[in-house]
Order: sequence, then structure tokens, then C-alpha cells
Amino acid sequence: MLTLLLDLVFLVLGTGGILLMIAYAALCDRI
Amino acid sequence: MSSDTAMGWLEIAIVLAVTFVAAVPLGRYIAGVLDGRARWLAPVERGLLGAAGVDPARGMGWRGYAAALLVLNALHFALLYLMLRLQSLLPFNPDGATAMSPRLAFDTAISFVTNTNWQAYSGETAVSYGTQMWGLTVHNFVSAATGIAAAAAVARAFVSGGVKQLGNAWNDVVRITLYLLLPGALVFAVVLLFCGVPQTLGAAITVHTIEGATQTIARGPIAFQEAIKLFGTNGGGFFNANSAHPYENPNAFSDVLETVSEILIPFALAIAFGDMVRDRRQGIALFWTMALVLVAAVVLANLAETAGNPLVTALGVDPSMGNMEGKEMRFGTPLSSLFAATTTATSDGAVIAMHDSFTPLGGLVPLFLIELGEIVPGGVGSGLYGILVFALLAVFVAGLMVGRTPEYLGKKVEGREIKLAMLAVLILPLCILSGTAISLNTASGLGSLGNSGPHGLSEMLYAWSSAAGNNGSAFAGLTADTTLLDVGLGIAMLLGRFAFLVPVLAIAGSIASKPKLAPTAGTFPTHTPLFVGLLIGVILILGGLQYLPGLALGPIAEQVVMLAGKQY
Repeated sequence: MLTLLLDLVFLVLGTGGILLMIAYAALCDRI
Repeated sequence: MSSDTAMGWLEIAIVLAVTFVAAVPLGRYIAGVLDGRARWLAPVERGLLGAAGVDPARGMGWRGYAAALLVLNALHFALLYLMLRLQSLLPFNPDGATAMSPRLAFDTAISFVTNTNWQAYSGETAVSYGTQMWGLTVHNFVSAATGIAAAAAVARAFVSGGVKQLGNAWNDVVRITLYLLLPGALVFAVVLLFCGVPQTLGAAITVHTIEGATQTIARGPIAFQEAIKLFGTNGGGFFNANSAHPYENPNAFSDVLETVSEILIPFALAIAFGDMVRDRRQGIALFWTMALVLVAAVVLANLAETAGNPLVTALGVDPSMGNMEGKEMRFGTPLSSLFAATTTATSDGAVIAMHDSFTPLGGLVPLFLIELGEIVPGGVGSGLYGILVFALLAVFVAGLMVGRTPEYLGKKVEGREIKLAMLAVLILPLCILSGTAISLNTASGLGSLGNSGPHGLSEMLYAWSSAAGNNGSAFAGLTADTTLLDVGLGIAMLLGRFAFLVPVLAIAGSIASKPKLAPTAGTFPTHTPLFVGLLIGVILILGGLQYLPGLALGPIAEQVVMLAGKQY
């Protein structure tokens, strides 16, 4: 169960972290 | 100068000369690929794009282009993570590799997606053949294609004026992979096979030595991974020893090929840039900037390593081959120094010698090259768009000095571009310096160090530099598979790659929409030796100076202490 939770955390961290850069792009667009 | 030393310098000169000469026709070819002129695989290209539903003529603005690359990489991260976690269930696992731990799988997946290829594991025991092939090797292609595509988008911004579109990201990634990376890696892999690099799906073999003991010899599908590892400036090796392993790099000839391979595309992209903006002199100026810094770095590294360690010499060890600790006899000091400089001047990170064993000044060179931002010549694509950011900063500095509006290739460089450039440039020191500081103030971080004193500081500084700079090499004394470093370095890799890429693409979008002005009497020429010198100065000062305190407390202090005859 803990391992599954860790998998979810790291998948979200990695995928989400990269996709968060799309929001960063929106911020850069406003500069 | 002894004949061995002279031969060493000659080896270095030949390798660099071959690369510089070969980069020119390759650069012209790459420009043809990025411009759409190369069409010899058109039916395959049409089939792939058609199957994916991509209209190659549909241009993307900078945000659409960035989003496409980010979505591609995010999906590939998830895919690779799942592969690493489920590899025990997947085929082609003859040696029974088990699932990687979640934190190590995160670290590994992020590192391959970001072209870093930081490996806190031993490939021959921790990763199955299937994962090596479909996971790691595939991502070597994807990350390399991502970098070159982004560079293409940035280059197009300078071609003409008043445009909002930078090309089609999907079309670029497919063309780069089909026309450049796959053919290049295939040819190189076949040559490596002839050099003796294995390519087999057979399990590790057990041999009986003449002393009657048994030994397990790991092997696998190495040649093709080795080829793209270097050609795409990835750096992640099949084995823990990377290109120091005889199965990855059997002899001096394969080593020369591997060295040329890892710096070829980055230099060629400078030439390609000149072709794309229809002014070859601009590409040549960037080429010279990269070449001069790289040559200086190689010279310094080889001088330091050839001089050796006086403390070791005092013990009676023959100094004629220089500092041979951590180096392979089949390569020697010159080729090892050359590879250490080229692998960190690009974003490759493969090693043929252990950087942790280099002399202090010898180790300073690869560390400093990474901290410059890996732009001389840099990784495939990331080197070109990185040095273009510094070119914009250089013309800005020149403009400040003479009181004129800075412009580069006919495009005015204004406040927005400089703010975005600084956002990009500052991400590296933010990650490197804060990451190093945090690590060295925790028990976990200190526990990872293999050495005390200045060399220990160098180990940690190098790790964070390598991660944020997307290099992937390490001072190998560091124990990297800890929660702090797996997660922390993973985040640094992500930021170093994508938090740099996004503002750079924003600059491209801004530049593309501006009108292209004709040069006037007051235009600062950006193809002259003066500009090359200014650009080098900006790179060294803006890129390098902020790391001076860390370097002073690390490798410089270690060098002083070594020469004073003391050790930790």
C-alpha cells in the first residue's frame, strides 16, 4: 500500500512537475 | 617535452580537428533537415505523421510549441517510470532484474527524460534488457530530439520578421529522429560492433578462470544504446563504469569515435544556425566561441592530469603517465582528460575515467564547464539555444557600453527578452547553490560524501551542478541513492531542463514577432573576433563567476592544500 502511494506521489511529482511548466509558460507570456 | 606527452597532445589535436571538420557538412545537413529540404525518407515521414494525425504545415506559436514538447516529455516520464517499476514483469529480463524502488525510478525517469542520464544505480544489475532497450535507449532519442527541436524553434525566430509561428513541434521531433538521430546512431552502432562492443540478448555468462574460480560477465544489447548515448549527448551507460567499461568502449579507436560523436552534433548545430539565418558568419562566430573555450578547457585538464599528484609521486609512483588513478590504461591521461572536458562541455556526462580521481584542477575543469551552462558546445539543441541566450546578453552588455539599443541578427533586444534571459540563466545557480547548501547542512547529505574536506564539498557541488546542468556525470565517491538526492536531484534536473527551456522559447516567440531590421552603420557586428571575445567574456563572467566561492572552497582549496603537501 505504501509502495503504491509512493508510486502515485512520484508519478504526480514528475508528470505534474513537467506539465506545471505549461503554467510557467503562461507566466513568462505576461512578462 | 617527452615523446609520450607530445603524442598525447597530438591525439587530442587530431580528435578535435576531425570533429571541427566533420561538423561543417553535418551542420549543413542538419539545416536541411530543420528547414524541410531533406526529403529522402519522405514516405516514412508522411506515414508516421499521417498515423499520428499531424499536419506538418500547421505552425505553432511559442506556447503551443512549448506545450507540445512538455506534454511529450511528461508522457514519456510516466511511461519510463512505469517501465522501471514493472520491469520484473516485462520480457527480455534474462538476469532477473527486480523492480526499481519508487524514488530511484523517479530519479532515473526524470534524468533520462531531461537528457541528464544521472544513474544512481548499476545498469548491469538493476535494469533489465527490455528496460535498457525500450525505456532508456528510446528516451535517449526522445530527449535528444526534444533539445534539437527547441533549438530549431529558437533559430527560426531570427530568420524573418513579424511571424508568430516557430514551426510544428511534432514534425520537428519526427524529422530529427528519422533523418538525423536514427541513421547516425545506426551507423555508429555498427562501427562499435566491429570495435568489439556486444549487442546480444543473451544472459550474463559464467566463466571459469584459470585459478578455478567462477566469474559472471555481464553483457547485453549495448552497441545501439552506446551509439545514441553519445550521439545524442545523453551519457547514460549500460554499465555502472560507463564508457570506462571495455564492453562499452573497448579500445582507443572506439574512444576516439565516442569522443567525436558526443561533440559532433553540438558543433554542427552552430553551423546549421548560420545556414538557417542565411548568414554563415553568425554560425561560425558561435562555433569559434564554443571551440576556443573547449580547447582551453582541454588544455588545462590535460596539463593538470599530466602533472600528476605530487603526494603520490613522493611515494615512489612513476609520474611519467601523469595521474593514472581512476583511469584506464588503454586510454591514458590525454584521452581521459579530453573526454572529461568534452563530456562536460556538452551535456553528455558519459565517463571513461573517474572524475573523482582527477587532480583538483583536473576535476575543476569538468565542474566549471557544467556550471557555465553547458553551452560550449553544450548538449544537442540545448547548447545552441543556451549560447543564443548568452549572445543576447552579450549584445545587451555591448549596447549598454555604447548607449545604443542592442540588436542581434536584425532583431532588437529589449527589456522583455533580457528579463526572460535572466530567468533562464538564473535557474542553474538557484538549483546548484541552494541544493548544495541544503545537502551539506543535512546528515543525509553529509553521509553521502565519500571524502571529507574540500573534495567532499566538490563531490556535492558537482552532483547538483551535474543534475541542474543536465549532465549526468558524477564524482563517483558520492552515494547518490538516498531519498534526499534521488528526489532533490530529480527536481533539479527537471528545473534545469524545462524551467530553462520555457523562457528561452518565450524569447523566441518575442523575437520572432519583431521586424527584422537591416544593418546600419551603428549596428554592432556579431560575426567578428571582437564579438566572439565579448561573448566568451560574458559566458565566463555571467555564467561562471557566481560559482567562484564554491570553487574556491572546493577544488581550488584542494589544489592549494595538495601543493602544500597536506591531505584530508
